[in-house]
Amino acid sequence: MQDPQEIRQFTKRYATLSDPPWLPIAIWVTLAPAANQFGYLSASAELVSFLIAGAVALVLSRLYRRRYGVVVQQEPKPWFLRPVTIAGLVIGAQAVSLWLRLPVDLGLVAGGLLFAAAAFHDGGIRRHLLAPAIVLVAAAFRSFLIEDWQAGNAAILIAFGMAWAFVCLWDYRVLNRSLMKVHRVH
Amino acid sequence: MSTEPAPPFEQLVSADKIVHEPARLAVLTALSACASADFVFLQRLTGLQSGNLSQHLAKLEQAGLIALSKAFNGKYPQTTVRITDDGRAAVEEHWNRLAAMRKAADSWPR
Repeated sequence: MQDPQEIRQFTKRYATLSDPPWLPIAIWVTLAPAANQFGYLSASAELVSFLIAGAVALVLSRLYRRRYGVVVQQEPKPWFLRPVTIAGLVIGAQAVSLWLRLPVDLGLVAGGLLFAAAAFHDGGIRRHLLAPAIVLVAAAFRSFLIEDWQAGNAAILIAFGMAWAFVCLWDYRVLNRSLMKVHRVH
Repeated sequence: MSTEPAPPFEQLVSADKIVHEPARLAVLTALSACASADFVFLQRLTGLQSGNLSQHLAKLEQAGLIALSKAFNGKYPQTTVRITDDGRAAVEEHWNRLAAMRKAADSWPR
């Protein structure tokens, strides 16, 4: 007998595992800005590489949709995962940080907490989002960790890019494992 | 000795054949958990060949359990499927009936 819960869960989660096509941009974030900062890549080459990564991501996104299909979710996203709320919270928290001249970037803390909330949402299917969450929260305290401002920024971008690439690859893994599981149930 | 079948078997025999077929049941169950899904997703879910899945979808559409809409995404055709209210009620009722039958069968002496 089929397990209806398994099929329903799988369908609900399908739409959330959508990051794999972003992998080229995540790799670009890991490499290009830091390479530019340390003089290995000119500003124009950085821009061109970004456009190439964007184009590859667009092609991958179409291929991904054609290969895995599209599911439109029934329930709207929870408030903390809506783009407007995310932007509002991050910008608001950062403004407070600047206004009070705090040594901590509250915008990055807010971003990290939102990633963590997304990680535990929907039964914790995307727990791997904790990787970028940890990077963002750690980045918020970078003034205590790294003295050189430029090196600090490069380190943050490298760490965030790697965490994002990890999320893209893990989304793909979870998607395929879920598919295999549903087929086993069938 | 009575030849009358036990009630759970009667229920199983009288189950809605349109809904009860495994691939169609999987399709309806998945559609009941989302607003809509496209043909490719349903193919991934069921593991059916496209011709076979098309036939199942046509039967479900004929029975008024799903609604199909066809469009073109660039040069590629895209079929979007959504469950109707009747379909949602039918699949819910079917799963409830199966669960009740299972419960009844579990209570039989072994």
